[in-house]
Amino acid sequence: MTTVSLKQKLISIVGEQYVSDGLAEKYVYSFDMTENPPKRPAMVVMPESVQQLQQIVRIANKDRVPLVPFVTGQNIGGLTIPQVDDAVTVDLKRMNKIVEVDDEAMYAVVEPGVTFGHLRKYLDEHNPSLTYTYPLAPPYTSVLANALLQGLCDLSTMRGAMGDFINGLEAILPTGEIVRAGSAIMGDGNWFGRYPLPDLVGLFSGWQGMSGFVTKIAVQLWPKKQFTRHAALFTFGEVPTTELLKRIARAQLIDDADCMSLSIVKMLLGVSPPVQVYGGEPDYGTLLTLSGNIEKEADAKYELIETFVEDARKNESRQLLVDWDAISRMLGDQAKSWVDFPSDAFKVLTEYDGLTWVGTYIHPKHWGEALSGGRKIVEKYGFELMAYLKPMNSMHFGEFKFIIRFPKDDATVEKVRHCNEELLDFALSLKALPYKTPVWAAKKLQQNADPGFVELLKRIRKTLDPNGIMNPGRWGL
Amino acid sequence: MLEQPKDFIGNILAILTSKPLARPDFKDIVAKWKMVVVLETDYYPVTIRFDKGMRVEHGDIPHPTLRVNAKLSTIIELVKGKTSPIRALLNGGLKVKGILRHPRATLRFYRLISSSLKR
Repeated sequence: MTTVSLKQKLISIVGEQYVSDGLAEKYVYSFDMTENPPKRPAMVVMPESVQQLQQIVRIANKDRVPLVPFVTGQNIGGLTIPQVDDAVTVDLKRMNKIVEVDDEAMYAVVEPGVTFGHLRKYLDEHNPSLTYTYPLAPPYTSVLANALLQGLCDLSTMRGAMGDFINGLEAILPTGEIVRAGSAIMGDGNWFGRYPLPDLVGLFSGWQGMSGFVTKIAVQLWPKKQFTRHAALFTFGEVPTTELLKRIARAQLIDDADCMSLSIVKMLLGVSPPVQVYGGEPDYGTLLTLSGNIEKEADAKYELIETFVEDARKNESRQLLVDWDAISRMLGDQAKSWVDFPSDAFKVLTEYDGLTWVGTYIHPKHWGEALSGGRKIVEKYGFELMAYLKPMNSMHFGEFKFIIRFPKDDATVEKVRHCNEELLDFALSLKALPYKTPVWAAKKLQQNADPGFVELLKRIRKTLDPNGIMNPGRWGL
Repeated sequence: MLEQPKDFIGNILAILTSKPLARPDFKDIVAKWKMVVVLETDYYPVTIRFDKGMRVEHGDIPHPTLRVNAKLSTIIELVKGKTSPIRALLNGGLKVKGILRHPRATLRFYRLISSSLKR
């Protein structure tokens, strides 16, 4: 089909205002903050409804037009950059309805364009006893995209990756049919969970848009605790730091732990780039968040953490737990920046036009070693030391990433690519799994993974998308 | 008045002292001081130079006017108001070398620190 006739067809569905093949739009949708190579789509279309999107998919399937799902493009993995020529980027941000919030079963059903900011505002106004979460991303990122990409958030230390929060979903298959997975197969107002059923959410979660368009997702909400308090933990050494975090997380005392290289804390304090490490500074600063239904519950949790830190001080007397009152006095207004860091992270991370990381989920036994080895690699390349790690799902696994902020000149981009490849090779050697996986990383993962898994992926994809229209090239498939 | 230090403890000191140093009268007084204080902590030492203002640098220098020694946990106790500089001095949590030789510098530094710790 010619580009002109495709454009006319898309205009007939969504209206002229929401289709563009203009140079400016194609440029804007061709890249993200990462080092992943840019590629321009042939066109951008913005549907407003499931029906419009279904019509777009049907045309694309009939005419073999590659489609790339897009909401805000804030991922750190090049995940919305087309991998093939003549792709149409389908920007879903106009599909932004909060379809339902169920106070009793504690879930929200949202469309792709609903952001963390939207949901937070809605819950504050309509369901103040409930809370969702926020990711390591700005508030204008998509709830649906983050859940499907299995990212981490401020509830991950207690409850795991966001993919675990999905109760069910509605999707348009690449062949145009609308399907549901989860308890809402019994009808609306019934999105309470995924079980007991064949878990077909797995056909879409983690697939990076290769298996269809998810048009609605039900995510779990949680009761808001009455008392929340914070504390800061300053630690030395990769293994002692991870061992202490493991102990605290396993005891299920904390809602969240954001552990980061001290350089990031210094960035929040306003230290200008490049932020260097000075001998004797603690290696890591961890923001601990703990809560309780009554103040005593939160206080008791804090007291127990104090005993764990006291134990750790027997081996390293400088490990230090500091309550938030003292931190507020020591760090002034910047203490609030630390609490807000995950959702306000781009304030310091976007110092330059480039931002990237290799983030992985890893077995707890390799967590400290991974952090230590990764640090050496980053230091070898001379980038600022910006590790970020989180105990996940009460310490069933760990997360770690090395963040690199960089100017996007050719030489630096090349250096970033080498550094990230080396970081990933090292992580894979420890059997870690990269998340929000860019194509280059997915290819490396496949080289190391069970071949049966890769074959199964290909077979499922072929079954769901016989014409290969959904985000082709993604994951190197 | 104070350049942004590049190290962690330097930044904490900068934030703590920023409140009294924001007062023009006190800022003018400090601007006239000429002395060097080394703060030794269990993390690392910082050198605080008073010379037409205040500057905090990572590291130690020989022969400062005053040499103050305290663990970071003691500094936090001071910040929280759980102890005072005098009490910490008396119980050994805070040690100062140079008190006898430089009593005026000691008083000046005490004044700065106690003003910084005021809630």
